[in-house]
Amino acid sequence: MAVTSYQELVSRAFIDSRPLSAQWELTFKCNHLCGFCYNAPNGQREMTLEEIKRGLDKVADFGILYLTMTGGEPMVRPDFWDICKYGRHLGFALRLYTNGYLVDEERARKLKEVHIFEVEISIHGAKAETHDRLTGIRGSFDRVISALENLQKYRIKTNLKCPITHLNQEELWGVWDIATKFGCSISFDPVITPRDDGDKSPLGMAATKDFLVRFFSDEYKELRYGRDVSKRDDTVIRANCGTGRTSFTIDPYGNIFPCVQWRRKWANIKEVENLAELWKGSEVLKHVRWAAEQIPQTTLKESEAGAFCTFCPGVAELQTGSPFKMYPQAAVVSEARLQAYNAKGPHEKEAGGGIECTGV
Amino acid sequence: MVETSAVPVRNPASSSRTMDGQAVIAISEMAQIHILNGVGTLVWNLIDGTRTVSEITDLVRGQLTQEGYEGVSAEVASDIEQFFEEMAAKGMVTLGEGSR
Repeated sequence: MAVTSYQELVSRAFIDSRPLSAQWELTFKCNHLCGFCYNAPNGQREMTLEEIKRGLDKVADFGILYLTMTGGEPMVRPDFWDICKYGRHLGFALRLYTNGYLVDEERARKLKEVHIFEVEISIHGAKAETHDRLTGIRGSFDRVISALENLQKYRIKTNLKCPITHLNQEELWGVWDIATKFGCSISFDPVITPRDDGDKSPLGMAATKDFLVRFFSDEYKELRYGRDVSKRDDTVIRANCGTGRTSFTIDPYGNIFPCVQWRRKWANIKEVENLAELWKGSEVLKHVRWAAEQIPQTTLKESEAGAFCTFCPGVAELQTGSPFKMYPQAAVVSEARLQAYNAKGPHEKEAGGGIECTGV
Repeated sequence: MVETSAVPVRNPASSSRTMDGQAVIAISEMAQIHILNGVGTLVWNLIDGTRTVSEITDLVRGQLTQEGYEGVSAEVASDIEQFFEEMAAKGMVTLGEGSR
């Protein structure tokens, strides 16, 4: 009686603009000092447990399946476990984005007890000195390794995420080995973004273009799970990304955005009565969906490299003032992809690159 | 073979939502996702930890008849029993002994 594939479900949700997941930044507080972090706390009061519970009621009523708890570092909230338990009570599949620092054996056991669906941990290098330098916290690498051991012990599905910077770019194989050792999947993110308040200082951490060309070549194909660099295929889904369609993001103050990156507020969870109604009627969401449909036909047609671009309208708007304007990191990454693509033989060149940022 | 007096209980590690009449079920152990069709969804949503396989079958049969499906009586029971076997094999449910 199982009929539809998960991919089909995601595609349908995308086309129908029906969200499957919500990301909730439970706090901007963090026990790390990453120089490339995009969070920009503004000093407002963060939501209380009771406010979060009432918000979760609304998100559950909206039919959301996945609740991703992120931050900041969500586990620093003293009421973190109350939030998890309430989320499970409402039937969410819980995901946790964490730096892993607090995942000792006791907390790993508690994550198992609340039936966490999956955990994603950020790792910033294969060597302690690199990781600790990027997080600004001595001993943080050892804590990641310890977290991975604890999560593995309780058989909790764990994914690693590694933003590529010029400091860790030569350690990616070592990071891959760590992922393999602990049975984790891993994704390497070649794009560093500005802070949400527009501060561009994180961009200085970006990987070099020379390295990115190598990263998209066959040399690193295994780290891309064998995926070839290919041109975008917009024949099924015509939008640039899933912003405003398949998920949304709530910040610690209750503001709701189309996605984690595009910080155009369309509601506040404390004030909104009916999420479903607003999801359909919001002018902000209509605009971002429209913009996401225009981008493949406009911005990405302006250069040959556009066909290889993972373009984020949220970053574009933050950095250039327009969601349609190409920004330097996207240009560099897409040019690196194009260069890697051009280095291939003719028989290896195929279209078919799917949308990378579905938001689910 | 599933006992019709068995009481199916959802895996406590499961989360589910019904979208467009299809239950999407996420199970944290091994991070599995299952998607059911209309009848499977009907069955899933009737699992409350107290109803037996037989009671669920009767309710499904009643629902399908009400919706105008014809000839459902013969195959439904065996289909649903098989479905419970599949769900149990995949860890989606456990089949406890009925107390009645």
